[in-house]
Amino acid sequence: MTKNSDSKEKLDLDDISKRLEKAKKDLNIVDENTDQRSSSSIGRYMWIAFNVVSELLGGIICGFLIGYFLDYKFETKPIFICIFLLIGSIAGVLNTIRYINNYEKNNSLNEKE
Amino acid sequence: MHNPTLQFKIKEIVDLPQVNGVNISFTNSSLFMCLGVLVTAVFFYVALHKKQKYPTKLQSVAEMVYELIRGMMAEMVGPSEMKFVPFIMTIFLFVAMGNLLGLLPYSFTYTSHFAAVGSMSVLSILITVVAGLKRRGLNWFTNFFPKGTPIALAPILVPIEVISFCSKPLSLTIRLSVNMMVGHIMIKVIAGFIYDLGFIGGWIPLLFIICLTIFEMAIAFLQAYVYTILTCVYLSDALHAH
Repeated sequence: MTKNSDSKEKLDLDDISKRLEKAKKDLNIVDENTDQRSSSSIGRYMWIAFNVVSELLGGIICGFLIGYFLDYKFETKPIFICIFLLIGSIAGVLNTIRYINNYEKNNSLNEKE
Repeated sequence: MHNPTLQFKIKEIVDLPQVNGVNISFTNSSLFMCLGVLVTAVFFYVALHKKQKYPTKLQSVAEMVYELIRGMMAEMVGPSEMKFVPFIMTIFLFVAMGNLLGLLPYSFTYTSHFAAVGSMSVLSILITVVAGLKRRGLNWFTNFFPKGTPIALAPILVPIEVISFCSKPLSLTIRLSVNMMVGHIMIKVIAGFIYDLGFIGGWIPLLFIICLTIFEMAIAFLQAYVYTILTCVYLSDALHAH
């Protein structure tokens, strides 16, 4: 008897929560948790953007410095700068892609946990 | 208003004669580096000189820091590589202390200088290279040209991979120094607003600066953590084949 009433109560609660969610959706009420998540995700995206910029800049500056050094040594300005700036840019993009891949891999692992 | 970048100016405290054209004077940067090391050493001595079964608050903090680094090492590099914990922990504490000491008024943030952070990054990468060469021998060079890649791609792939490797210390340096520099400049600029707006209007920037300082404290730890994690990633890349 008690078991039956318990399960009935649970069913009622499930039904109420479903109807509440539907009503919230209809009224466009944003859940507090979702709101918090979106504000924290802004910080996370800013963080990613900052890391991406530093990875990109690292490659480009490194390429430029190597090219500048070689041009200075062989007095061929600006041939090596052009070549190594290009290679550096590609390396920067490659590092960025690796960073994003790593980030997504970690993210999906965390979500699974 | 004072120039907000003046706080990063290196001032000589003890003038020393030049050695081979290099200025080796003891500067405010050197002073705060020494202070960082001293504060860390004193903290760990006080926290751990009387180890107890039920730890005191200080002992808990010291153990927490150690556990954090140990856990990070086990996760990123592998549980069998614990001999690198002192190296990684030194880097973490040095960067964290630099960031935190820089938040004190009239102090100097040595982690905002490209020269200081850059040399530390280069040293970290060199240590990972030496560790990688010692462990894997010449196989370490396969990082630049993974096995199974067509030889025809070597003239393009190898320079790209070499520059990508060389840019690691640079991106580490940019990430930490720029973050620290921007935070301190912002604090200084907003502090200038307090003076300009006077007693009545100055309260708003004052409240803002309190929030910003708390935020900067969090950033100080976060940056040290990220710097350490990336060093662990580079160490793992050097020690293990892809």
